[in-house]
Amino acid sequence: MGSDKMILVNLEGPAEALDEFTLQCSEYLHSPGEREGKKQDEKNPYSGLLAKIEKVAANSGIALERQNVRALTASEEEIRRFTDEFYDGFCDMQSRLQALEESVARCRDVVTQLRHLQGMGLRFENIFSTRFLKVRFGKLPVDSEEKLCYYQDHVFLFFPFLRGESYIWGAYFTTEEYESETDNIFAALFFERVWVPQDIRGTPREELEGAKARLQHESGEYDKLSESFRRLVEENRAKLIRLYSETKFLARSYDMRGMLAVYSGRFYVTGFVQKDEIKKMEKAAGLIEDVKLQMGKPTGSVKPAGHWPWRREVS
Amino acid sequence: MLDSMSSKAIFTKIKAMYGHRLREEDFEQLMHKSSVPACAAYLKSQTWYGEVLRDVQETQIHRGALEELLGRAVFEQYSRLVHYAGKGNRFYRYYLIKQEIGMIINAVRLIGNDDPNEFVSAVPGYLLGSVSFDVLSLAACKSFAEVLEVLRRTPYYKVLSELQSGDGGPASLPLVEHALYDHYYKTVLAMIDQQFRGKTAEELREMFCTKAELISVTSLFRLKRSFADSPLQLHEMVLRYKGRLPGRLMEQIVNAQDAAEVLDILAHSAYSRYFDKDNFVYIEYSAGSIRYNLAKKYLTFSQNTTTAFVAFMVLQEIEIENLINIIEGVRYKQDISQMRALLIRGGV
Repeated sequence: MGSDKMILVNLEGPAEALDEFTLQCSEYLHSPGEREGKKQDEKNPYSGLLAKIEKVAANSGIALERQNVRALTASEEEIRRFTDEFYDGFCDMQSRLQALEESVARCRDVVTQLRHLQGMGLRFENIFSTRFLKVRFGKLPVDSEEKLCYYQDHVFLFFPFLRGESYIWGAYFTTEEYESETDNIFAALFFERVWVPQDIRGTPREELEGAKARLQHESGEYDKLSESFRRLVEENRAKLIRLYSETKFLARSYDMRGMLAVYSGRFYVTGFVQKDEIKKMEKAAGLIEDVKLQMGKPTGSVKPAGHWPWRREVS
Repeated sequence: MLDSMSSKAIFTKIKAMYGHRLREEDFEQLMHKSSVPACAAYLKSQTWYGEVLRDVQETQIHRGALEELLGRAVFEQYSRLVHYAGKGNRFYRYYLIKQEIGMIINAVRLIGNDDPNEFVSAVPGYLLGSVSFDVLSLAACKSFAEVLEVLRRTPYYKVLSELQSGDGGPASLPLVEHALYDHYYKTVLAMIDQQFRGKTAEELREMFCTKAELISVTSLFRLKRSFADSPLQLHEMVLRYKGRLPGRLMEQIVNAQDAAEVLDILAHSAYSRYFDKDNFVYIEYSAGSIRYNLAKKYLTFSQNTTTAFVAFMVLQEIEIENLINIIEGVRYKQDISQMRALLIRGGV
């Protein structure tokens, strides 16, 4: 935070407008320590909670907005409990959603693979039950097909089942002994593997309908859980935003202690504002009745923080 | 020579293809992607590469496969343009000769490598039907003599056999590169002399000779930077084709003490605006910028189809270089400012 970009401001106003002032203006104010880039000695006790709410909001897709706080509706403990419960709830749902999403993608791949393997008359159970053979299903870029002839002396067989414009769908077979070598060869040829579940037993033609049904089932489950997830977020959106505003208010109030004094029914604040935010600050302060703002050096009526003779009061 | 009808058709086709080139904002978008699949998805949905990437599943694609497909896209453009030109113009084969030379250099570089898959993987599959020798046989070569055997029936055999040392190996990789590039430029300039006259020949000569000169400058700069006391005869590393640097300046570069002196000489040459010592990024960037600006100038102003063809292919190659740099940058989580610095856009 470069000091050349900061302007010293002095503000004063009626003590009863202090909460409103804190709400509207505190985000622009920086203490002399912050201005010099020093870390605050005391950690704001609300910063951890705020960070957690922000994380919860970001993960659940809730856009946080600042609301006016007229009164605190929950204690710090209640805010913490709500945030934890909401976070745990949607984390659990999110991980189930992710697992389902992966399952849907796998099922979709299997359906695609089975469609492309219709030319294979073999039963999968016969292939999977072989003791010494290793098989990989997937697709080979057409540009790599001609390169296969370089490996004609190697111990593998590639069976193309369907030829597209860009890929050849098929499978390669090798023995356990040459498994690693063959996998390296096909990796160099940019073969994209598709995993076929071991519980598929019949021919691709026989298994396709079953795979489609599994895909439909998994997609349905995913849709249902997505809807529950959406409802959970909607039901908690307003409360999270309100509690965020209240926590923000508490955090700002805490931060302002070092810049604030209250005396004879008036509050006095001295702090620094970034040069490019000064107009916003002026506008925000102007919305509150009887709040005066001075820029530049501290005046006689408002002394710099740390040298005031009167007792500081925390709002 | 081309007849005027096909000439006009190719010219229009080139301009249309160039109109689909990637813009500044495309490169910016790509640099901000978090993964190779995200880059692939953008190229597939937002750029002219979508045609060649249409069947690609972005989430699964391997970086090498993606780069090969981008190369294929440019090769398809080349093939389409050559198809328009018909079989009457042998000059366009220059592009394939360059690809062949690239593969031979890679094969020599990988002699003795235990993993032949590395070479096979790097060979663009789409070129296999167009090259004049059995490229894949190069993967199995364990010695320079075996490489020569594969190339026996090609013009490269004579060029490289002169470099074979007593023990059957090559003198060195830089000398192999030099000999092959020298052969390439001799062949291309001879084709230009045979097939073109006047302004066309002049424009083509300028583009190819400038590239040859930049190859020499880049090689010398790299050697001076990496090996102060290089055992190589640096005079032998220069491609003697007249570009923009007078002969005496090239001699000064050859005799320079180090890379800094090379830079100083270039900063006072016809390429001075590309070699400002205060803003120098790296030698390949400067050389790329010169090629980019020259090609762009000819594509914009030349009225000749062959000049426009060569200029267009240079710009397409640079676009691919830029894309590969970005994809690798994204893959290795490089800083965006670093990726931006590597981007060749003709600025200096």
